[in-house]
Amino acid sequence: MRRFISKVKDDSILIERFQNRDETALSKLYDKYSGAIYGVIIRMCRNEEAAQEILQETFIKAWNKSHLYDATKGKIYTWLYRIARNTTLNFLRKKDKLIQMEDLSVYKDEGEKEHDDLHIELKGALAKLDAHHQKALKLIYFNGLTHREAHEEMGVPLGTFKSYVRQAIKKLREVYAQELLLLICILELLT
Amino acid sequence: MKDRNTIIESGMLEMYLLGLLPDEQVAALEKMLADDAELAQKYAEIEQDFENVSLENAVQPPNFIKEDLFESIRQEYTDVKELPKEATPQTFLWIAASLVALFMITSLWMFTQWNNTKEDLQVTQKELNNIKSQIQNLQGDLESSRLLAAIVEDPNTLQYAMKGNAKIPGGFATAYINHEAKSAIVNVQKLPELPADKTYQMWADVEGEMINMGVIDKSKNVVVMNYIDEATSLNITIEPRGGSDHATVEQLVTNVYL
Repeated sequence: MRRFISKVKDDSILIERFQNRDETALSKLYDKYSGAIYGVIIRMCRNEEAAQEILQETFIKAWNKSHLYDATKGKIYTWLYRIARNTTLNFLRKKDKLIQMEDLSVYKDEGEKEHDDLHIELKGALAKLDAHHQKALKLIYFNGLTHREAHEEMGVPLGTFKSYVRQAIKKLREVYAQELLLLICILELLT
Repeated sequence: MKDRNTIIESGMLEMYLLGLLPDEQVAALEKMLADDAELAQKYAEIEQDFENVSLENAVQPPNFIKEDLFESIRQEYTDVKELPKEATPQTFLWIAASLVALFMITSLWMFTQWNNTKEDLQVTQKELNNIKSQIQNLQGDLESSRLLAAIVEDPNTLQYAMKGNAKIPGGFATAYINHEAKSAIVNVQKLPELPADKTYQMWADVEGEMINMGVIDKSKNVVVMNYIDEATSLNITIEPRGGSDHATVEQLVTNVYL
């Protein structure tokens, strides 16, 4: 518990330094979250080159707007996630516009190819959920779809889709709670 | 406001986390999160779980991204610091500033012009209104003159000179009565002006009783009065503005027997 408290304290100091435009704080935040954020971006845009650019843009935006982050309203990771999500969606919208303006068939084929090449398996607790729960969370969290778009994609009514999301979140909680319990037991045994 | 369970079941917390909650609901939810520790705890759990999911599904980006990121951030610093030294951005700034100044001057000039035009328009409008009212007055005068001419020319019209008493020294009125046409008009040009709260009023004496013939409108030279049958005399009194129901005999300024 003491370790947990000191970790929270460390994080808040890190964030404060980040908001004071301390580059080492940015470096630490990048090391901690770039993988998680990149995982989201690359699943959303399915294009490695674009994902790399978007990742960089996300951290530049975060750096330039660090004063807008309010720790009382949520975790820094959630804030970074939202920036990444919006930046990626903007990129995809621009790309969609280009496709509409240019020769449709060429780009469409390319898009599908990208999709096949860059299928990245889901891991961890999410992979342990039932297929429909997993898909519901994947669509809204990793693919950046709205609930409305996602329920159409899954082919179920909006109400059903929303309850899938609710159930999936509950299941996730259970999986993580069990893992935490297991970890505590192991630590107890070791000490 | 919805209660805690409704919020949890409605999926608002996830929507908020994803940044999908409509702006108008964000403020309300943030307030609830600040006030309700249990709801805040629930949200913190969801946040933590999503963070865990992300960390478990992390994909390591290539190392050069971090290098590029820091290079681009430092570049921004250098750009900002070196800006005054470099000739081109400075020149550009001067051009921009000049353009802004030019734009402001033009805007100001156009604004002044616009205001002047507005003022001119108002003045013209006022003048036009004056001319309109003058035309109306002239038309009124013309009608009065025509009326007067018609009545005067009529051989049946009788003319009475009404000389003013000591209350209006030098003042007088001329009444024209036509018993055939049953009309009564009076030329009041020579009646002296009264204070704003007073008015002249004309009365006909019928068997000892003063019958109202009307208030005299001093803005006109010739005023049409009510013709009263069997009047034995015409009388003008000074009355409070708007006229009286009964003549104030003490304020009689002129009278004439018919």
